[in-house]
Amino acid sequence: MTSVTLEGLAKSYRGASEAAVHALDLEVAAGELVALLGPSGCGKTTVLKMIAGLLRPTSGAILFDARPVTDVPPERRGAVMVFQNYLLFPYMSVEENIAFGLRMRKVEASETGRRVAGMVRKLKLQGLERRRPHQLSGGQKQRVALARALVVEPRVLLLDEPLSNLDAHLRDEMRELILFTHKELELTTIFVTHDQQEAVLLADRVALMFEGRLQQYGPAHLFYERPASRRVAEFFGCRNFLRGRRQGGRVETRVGSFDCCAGEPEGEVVLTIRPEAVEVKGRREPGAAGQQRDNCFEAPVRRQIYMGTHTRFRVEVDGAEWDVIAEAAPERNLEGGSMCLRLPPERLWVLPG
Amino acid sequence: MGVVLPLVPLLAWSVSQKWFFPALLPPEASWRAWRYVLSPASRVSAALGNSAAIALIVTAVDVALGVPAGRVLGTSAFRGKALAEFLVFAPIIVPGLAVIMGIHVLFIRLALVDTLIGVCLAHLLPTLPYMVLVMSGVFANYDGQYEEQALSLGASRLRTFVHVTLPAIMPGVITGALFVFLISWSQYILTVLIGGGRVITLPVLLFSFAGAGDNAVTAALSIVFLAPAVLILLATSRFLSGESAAMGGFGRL
Repeated sequence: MTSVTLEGLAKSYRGASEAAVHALDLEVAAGELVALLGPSGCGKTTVLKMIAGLLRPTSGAILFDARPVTDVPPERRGAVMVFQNYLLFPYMSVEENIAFGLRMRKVEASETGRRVAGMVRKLKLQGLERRRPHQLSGGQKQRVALARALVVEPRVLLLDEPLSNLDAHLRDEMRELILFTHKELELTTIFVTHDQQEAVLLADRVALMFEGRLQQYGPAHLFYERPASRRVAEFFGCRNFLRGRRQGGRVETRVGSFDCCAGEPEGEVVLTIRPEAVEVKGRREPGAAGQQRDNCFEAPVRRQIYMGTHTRFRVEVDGAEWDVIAEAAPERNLEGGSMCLRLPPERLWVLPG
Repeated sequence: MGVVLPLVPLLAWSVSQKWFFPALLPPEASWRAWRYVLSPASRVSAALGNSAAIALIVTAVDVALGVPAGRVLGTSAFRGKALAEFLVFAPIIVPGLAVIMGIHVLFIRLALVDTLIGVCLAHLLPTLPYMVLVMSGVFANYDGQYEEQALSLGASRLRTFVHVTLPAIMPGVITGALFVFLISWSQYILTVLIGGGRVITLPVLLFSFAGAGDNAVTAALSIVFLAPAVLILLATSRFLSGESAAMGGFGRL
């Protein structure tokens, strides 16, 4: 098991005005499964290639187990990369492809045969040993590529968009396979993806990057509950934002004043909350007109969609549209009317304005 | 079939004696021409050796220079690339004859005239552009990520080249090598000018017999001259079509 540390890792391509990766600091613990998440072109694959040794960083350092490997060439670094398009050598059989790394390391033939056979069994490739890559399905190619990487027993496994070229049903299978092999081999694994769902389902920790800069790094649930910025929250599918002014524990907004215990920013802030964290109180009780009660407010309902297990509302809050998810089926259609929402203080999160 | 057919009349000529119009077939067969061609007096074996040596050296140098040059031109963009391309491909547009006089003077100073090496260097002129052209086409369709994958799996640079790059570009290399081998093999003027009549190759010999008007010997010599080309073509035709050629960045030729 190997830990990976990136210290101020940066990459600028010649001729490009903006750096592809800006001073990136990242710590991956030994045996951890980490996702590098971000929209295409955010520099995540560049980071992966730098860790693999295939790209020289402009500045910064890469450490494996606290030892610098920045100047170690890729073939001796022990970080094996599996590319998005698998890159199986077309003139070699499945078996020869898997054996490639061992052959290049001049591992003895009998040892190679034994390890390749073991890997064929582990990744359920029996019967395909003599096939050529063009005779394989996408899922099989992916498994061969994984087998070819795992058989050399790398210190660090790097996967570039491991699931994006697969059909939906193969994706589940492959995800299970990656999780299973990661658990079994306790292999430090870093994978790149543009799909937040994938990152959440697979990774112990997620590193989100925009335009070559790390935005947030931590367990997946924090990206939902405690996003670092409005952009991060938006990337994770949240549309519920409310501008306001914070003083002490209260935030004044155009729709009311809210109790809020979490988050640091003071002054101009943006309140946010997950759609499923909003409590739906139905119609507002009469009598309390003008008097706001306990983080509640009334909002016009634009759309109401019954989804079987839950109901999704589109409500208007301060001119913007919010998503609200209620577990219970509503008694009647509230479209065109309004509903009372409660924002529980412990679920509210405050972002810098 | 198409490459064998022209050999039939040549074959007929080579074994004919006093074959004139309007006779449809040679009136009598004779081995005179073949006996002469195969005898040491004709210098055919020496010319064959020279031709083969020159063509092989030229091909080897073309491959060694053309692969890296084609890679650079096919894969990367850099300032002055258009100029570099123009200079590399200029010999295709400018006839060799136009520059050979200048080269001749230069080679006299360098004592390269009348030598095999001098002739080889001169043959690079019309051949290298084709090799570079073929290889830049191959590399334009070449996925360099395969090399990164090999490095990442623990292969050294040299082993990556041998086990990954070379197999991928092999069809292109063979196509280009074939091309330049045949151009060099059939080169006459450059050989005569730089070789100065001292470096005798098959085309040089062929021209002298054609000029002397001995049809039978000319025909027999033509067959000796053509045979290797046809054999190479047949032996390598599988590289020029189908899957392997497509892999090297080529359609069917």
